[in-house]
Amino acid sequence: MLAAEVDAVHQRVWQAVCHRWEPNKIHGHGPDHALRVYSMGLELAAAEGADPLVVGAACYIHDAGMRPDVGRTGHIERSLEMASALCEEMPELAGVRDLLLTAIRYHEAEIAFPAPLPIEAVCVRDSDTLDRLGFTGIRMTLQYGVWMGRALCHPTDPLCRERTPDLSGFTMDYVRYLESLPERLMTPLARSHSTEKQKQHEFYCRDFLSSFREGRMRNHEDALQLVTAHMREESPVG
Amino acid sequence: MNTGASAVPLKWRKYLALVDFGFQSADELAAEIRRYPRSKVQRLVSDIRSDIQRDSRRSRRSLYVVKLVPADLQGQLPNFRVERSSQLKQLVAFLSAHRGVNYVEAWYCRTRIDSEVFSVAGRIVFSAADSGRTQLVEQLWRGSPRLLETYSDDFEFPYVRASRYSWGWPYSIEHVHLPRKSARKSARKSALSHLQLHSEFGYAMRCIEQESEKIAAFCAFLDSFSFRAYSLEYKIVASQLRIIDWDTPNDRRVLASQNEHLLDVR
Repeated sequence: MLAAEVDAVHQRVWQAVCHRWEPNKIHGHGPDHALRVYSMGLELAAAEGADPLVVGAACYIHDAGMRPDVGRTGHIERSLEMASALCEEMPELAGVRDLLLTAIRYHEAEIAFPAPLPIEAVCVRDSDTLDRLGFTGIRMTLQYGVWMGRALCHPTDPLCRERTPDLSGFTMDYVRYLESLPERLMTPLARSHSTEKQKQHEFYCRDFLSSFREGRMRNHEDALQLVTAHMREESPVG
Repeated sequence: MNTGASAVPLKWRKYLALVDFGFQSADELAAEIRRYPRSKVQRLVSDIRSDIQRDSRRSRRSLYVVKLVPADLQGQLPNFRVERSSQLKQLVAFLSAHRGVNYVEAWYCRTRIDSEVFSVAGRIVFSAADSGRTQLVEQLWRGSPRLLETYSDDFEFPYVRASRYSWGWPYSIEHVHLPRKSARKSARKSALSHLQLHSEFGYAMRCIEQESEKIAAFCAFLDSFSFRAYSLEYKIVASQLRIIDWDTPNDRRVLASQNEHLLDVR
C-alpha cells in the first residue's frame, strides 16, 4: 500500500474515533496522547520495518475505549470492540484484523504477552510506554489523579522512598512507579528516546521535592503547574 | 427469584442505590433484572425461550441481555445479547465457554425493541466544567447501551450524540447517524428519517428532564465525592424512563459511603 493510501486509512480511523478521545481530556488521556503515540509509533515502525498501516491504526485506537466516567476500567476490551467494528467497515483493515487486535490487546507495558509479539504490536506498546514517561507521562498521571480523587502524595514520604508504592492512594507513588517502565521497552529506538524522558523524570521529582519541602506543593494543581512550567521551557535538561 | 447466593454482588448493590434514590421500587428492579444462581443457568435459558415465544405470539420483539455476575465486579461483566430463539444455542455455548469464569449469578433483562413501540437507550456523562457540569448524551434506538462503544459508520442502529451546558439548557446535536439500508439486518429496525430522529431525541430528552429532580439529587450525591465525571445509563420504552445503571471513577467508594448517606437523609 502506498504511503498516501496508508495515511488516508489512518485519517479515516481518526475521524471514526476522535470523538471517543475528546472527553478523556478530563483524565489526561485526550487526543494529544493519541497523536503523540501515533507519531512515535510511526517513527518506531519505520525503524523496525513494521507495517505502518497496523501501527498507525492501533495507535489511534489503543486508548479510545477509555471513558470519562470510568477511565481505564475495561478500556482495552472497549478499544478492541471499536477496532473490530472498524475492521468490518474498512476493507483495508479487514486484512490485518488479527494483527491490529493483537497490537491493541497488548499495548500496555504491564500486560504479559505471548511470545513472540509481532513487531507491529511491539511498536505500539513501546510508543504508548514512551508517552507515559517524562513530562507527558507525569502530566497524564497527575490529571488522572485529580480525576479519580486520589491524594497527591504521602505526607511524610512524598516520593515513596521508604514505602511500597500505593498506586491507588497517592499520585506521586504512581509517578515513581513510572520509573520502572523504561526497562520494559523492547526496541532500541524507544530505549534511546527513554533516556531523555528519564532525565525529565528526575528533574521533575527533584523540583517537586524541593517545592514540597518549602510548603509550595499543596495539591495536584501545584504539581500540574510545575510540570506545565517544565514543558514550556524549551530545553529543561542539559 | 431467591438466588440462594450468600453475598449480594457488587453490581446488585449498584442497582439498589437506584432504588434508594427513588428511580424505581425494589419490586420493579426484581422484575426487571431476573437473577439466577450459577447452578440454575439452564433455567435462565428456558425462561428466555418462554419469553421469546410469548413475545412472538403477541407480535413483539425484545432484546435480552444476559450478564455473568461475579461477587465483586461492578462493570464490564461478560454479556450476551439474544433477540431470537435461534440464538439460544449460542447463548448456551457462551455459558459453557465461561464455565471457568468466577461468576456467582447470571442475570437477564429484556427491552422491547419492535417498531410498534418507542424504544431508546443511552448514556449521559456529567463532566466537571468551569461552573457546573456539562452533559454529554449518546443515544441509540432499539438496542442496548452496551453497543454505544461499537459505534462506527456501519452501525446498524440510529444514533445521536449531543451535549449541553447544564440542566435546562438546550442540547447541541453533535452527530447523527442513520443506518444505511443494507446495514439494517431486519425489518424491526424500521426506517427513521432525520426529522423523526431529531423529534424522537427531543422527546427522550424531555422524558429525562421530567425526572431531573430525582436525577439531580443523585448527581448531588455523586458530586460529594468530587469526581471529575460520572455517568447514568437509561432506557425509555413507550413513555417510561428507567435509569438502569451508573458509573463513577470509584463505585466502591460511593457504595461504601451510601449507608451513611441514607442514615442522614432518612
